[in-house]
Amino acid sequence: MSATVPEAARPAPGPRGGGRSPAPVRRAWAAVGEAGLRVVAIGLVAFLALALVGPPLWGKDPLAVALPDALQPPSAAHPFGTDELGRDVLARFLVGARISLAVGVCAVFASSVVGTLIGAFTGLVGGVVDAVIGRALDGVLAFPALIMGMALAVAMGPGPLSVGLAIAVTGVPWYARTVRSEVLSLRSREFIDAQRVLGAPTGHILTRHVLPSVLGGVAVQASLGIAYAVLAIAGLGFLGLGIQPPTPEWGGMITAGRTYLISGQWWMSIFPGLGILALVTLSMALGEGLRDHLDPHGKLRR
Amino acid sequence: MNLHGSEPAPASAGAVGATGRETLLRVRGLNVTFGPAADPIRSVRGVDLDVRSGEVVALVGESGSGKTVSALALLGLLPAGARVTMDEAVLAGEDRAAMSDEELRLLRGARVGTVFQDPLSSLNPVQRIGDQIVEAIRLHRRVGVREARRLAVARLAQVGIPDPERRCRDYPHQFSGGMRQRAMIAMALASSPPLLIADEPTTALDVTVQAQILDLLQELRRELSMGVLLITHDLGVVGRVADRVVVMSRGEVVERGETEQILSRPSDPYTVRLLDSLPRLDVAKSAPPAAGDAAEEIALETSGLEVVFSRRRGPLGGRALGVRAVDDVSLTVGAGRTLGLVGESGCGKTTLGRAIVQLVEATAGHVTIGGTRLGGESARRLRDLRRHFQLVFQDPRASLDPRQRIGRILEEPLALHGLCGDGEQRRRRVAELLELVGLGPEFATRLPHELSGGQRQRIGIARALALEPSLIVLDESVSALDVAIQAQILALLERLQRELGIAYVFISHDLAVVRQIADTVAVMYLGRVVESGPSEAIYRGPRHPYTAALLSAVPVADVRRERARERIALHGDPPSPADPPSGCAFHTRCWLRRRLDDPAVCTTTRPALGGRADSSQHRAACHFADRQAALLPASLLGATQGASA
Repeated sequence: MSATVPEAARPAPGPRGGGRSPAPVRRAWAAVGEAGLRVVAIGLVAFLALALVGPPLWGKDPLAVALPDALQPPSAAHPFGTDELGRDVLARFLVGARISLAVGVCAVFASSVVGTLIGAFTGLVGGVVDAVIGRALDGVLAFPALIMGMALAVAMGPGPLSVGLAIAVTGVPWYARTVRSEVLSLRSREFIDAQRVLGAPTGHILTRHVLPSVLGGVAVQASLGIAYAVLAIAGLGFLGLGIQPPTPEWGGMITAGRTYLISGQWWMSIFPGLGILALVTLSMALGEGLRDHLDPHGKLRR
Repeated sequence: MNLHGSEPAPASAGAVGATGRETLLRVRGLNVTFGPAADPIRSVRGVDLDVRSGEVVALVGESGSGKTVSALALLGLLPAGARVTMDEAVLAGEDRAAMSDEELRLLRGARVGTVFQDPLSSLNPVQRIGDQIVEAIRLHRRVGVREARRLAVARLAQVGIPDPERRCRDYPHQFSGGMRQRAMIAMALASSPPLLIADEPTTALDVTVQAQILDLLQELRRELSMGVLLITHDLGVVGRVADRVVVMSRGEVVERGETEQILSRPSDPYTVRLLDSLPRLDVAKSAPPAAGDAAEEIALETSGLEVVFSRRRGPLGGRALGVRAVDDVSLTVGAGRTLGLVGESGCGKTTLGRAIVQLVEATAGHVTIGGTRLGGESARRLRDLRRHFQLVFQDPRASLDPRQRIGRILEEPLALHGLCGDGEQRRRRVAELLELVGLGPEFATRLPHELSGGQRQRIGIARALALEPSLIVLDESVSALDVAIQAQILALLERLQRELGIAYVFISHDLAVVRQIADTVAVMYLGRVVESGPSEAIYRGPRHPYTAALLSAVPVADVRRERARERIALHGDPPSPADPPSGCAFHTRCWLRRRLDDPAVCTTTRPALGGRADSSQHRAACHFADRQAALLPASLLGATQGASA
């Protein structure tokens, strides 16, 4: 028998399939992957900084009307141009970022906390409680954030509160469902039984073994949730049911600028649109990066 | 033809020879490598294989030895990253090396049938069994649907499925494990391939069902003159059906030859070790304790224990369905002794184990551990009591929290029970525990997935030992391990028992392993103990027909004895515990009842677990327990005492 294979007979390592390429390539690939998550994190921190310190640094009043300066294209004085009332678009953009982030993050935080609690509770208790709460959540799930936002805007008057509430309420079922199914699968895992055999109280099992396994999934869902929240805020603003003018809000700014797009004043709509695009992309990328990173069998983990 | 192989190949290899045997599989110098070219993992190195028609060749080795990879490589079923080379290969009469992927695909199924270990995952769950076989037939034969269906029914009948016309319309979940494996074999036989490659076809099955499947393979070999390449880790199975054996270790063939020669006079040290670590039905526990010590302390006592799982039908109540998983079980285990709990899957042995450690609530009866009667105490008190009885699970991978380090896993029980106060003391105790199970202190910083299966099971045992319990329930704790590792863990358990005086309840489906470790044995069937007593007595002279059948079904790695054994065949599968037969639950499969011309009492009256005048310890629940001995085959165990009797 021939125990060795001639080197030439071996097929060359394929260019695709990172797992099978030579070690240096693999390491480089892994580093890029990690760096990818780092780039996203840097982007998000930059966005946060922009929203927090941007408005005072730029110093222009986003609400100051100056009709003589109306509809000016981008220039040194107004890098993003001015709108139909002569307000500085950059100042409005920066405050708009602040509002999108604040409302989005608050809403997502609220819905993830409430959703996680409901999900963990129903998953652990099961039975009738689980069935009843589950159907109720399914009912909430039937409302898209936009419809809920419209209903709340009519009921409580449009504003940041109704927008945030709509996003938070419609988000709850998603977290509850994720956490519930995770808890259900964990509950039947042997290492949970092993804890009971060792004499661990339920509280200990929940905090030490169940929650840590669940939180990763919630974090992923929440970062994707921010993207949807930003879109929902802008969508409601675009429809005029969100945060009301003159408060600068990206969706509302796009609506206001829409009529001027045809006549060539593109800057009023394009800049808030790019803002939405950037924020949504970053949170999506964060969510996906987190998911890869938290997966114990993930390729990035070594 | 190439005759340079290391085994004596017949001169007519490659053609239909004087013996009428055709070479179906012939491989020389098979290599399989994975991973980057700079640092390859060579899974299979220079393997030669031959299978002729009408013979069973066993490919034997531990997990990771490359036996499955070799078969998959021949079939062209390895993932894209694998690199396969071979000097020469003939598969079902065609040149394998020159074949395109498409030709290979046509060859699979048409000329080479395959059967894999897990029939549940190999069958499509949402397609009827009959349709799947019809599909397999029509992939390779130009026949109409009606003709294919007729063939499918014929195949199912051929593999021994009763009422094939009707069972054809069943879905896989309606089949039991053994029936599914039969259906898989029927599918593999769909287009009458001359060669069958079976990868651990009986590993997931109970011994009685395994015996049926092995008989079936024998029959196919005899009647259809098929060649079978049987991949297995079980040398007992090899002894039972194989004509020739190829032993693999670390990707290389270490030994090959006639089955009898390999099993009785192995020449390679690896084969010798493999055979030595094999638990044997005819070798008892190494140091049996002095029997009949009346003043013995009782570690565990269950009396009239019953666990009924009830499930309401529908959301609006209706008739409650009860499954009597454990039914009126009374057992005792002496301190520092081992009780072996044996039975087929679904017999309730795991539920009983879980009821003992209070993981499942008993619906009647009670458990007494170390003199304390359990049940009805507060949750807090029960948590405190738990340190006296522990459970080691079957799968250490699932029972260890994947995100905790070993040190943390072992500290947790100490912290929960407030043992070994401060950090330094606790770390010392962890090192001590690791040493106790034969691992170094450096393991404390590792994560469970960084350990091998055997090491993980040692951690599971160490965790159970942390609380210094007086009783440990071991639920199939060595079943998933290779025989060599299994032997190590068994030795470890025996040592710990000697040193620490722990009592074990050792739950296993493997009668040979139980023989090795148990002082007393209880055999369960459909939730009830049908026979119990000293291990020695039960293995030498079973008094219940079910025990006798179980013992008879265990294959032994000794060709002459194995083939001389007269076997008790059990037909069919265990009945559903949700709907047990009337009278004696075993009567539907009982061979003794048939021998005695079906006495009516078996179907009307449930026999009590009763003893015999001369040995009150050895009890069996059979109306005719005392008439069985005369009807038992002389060579039941394929063991020495059988020959001397």
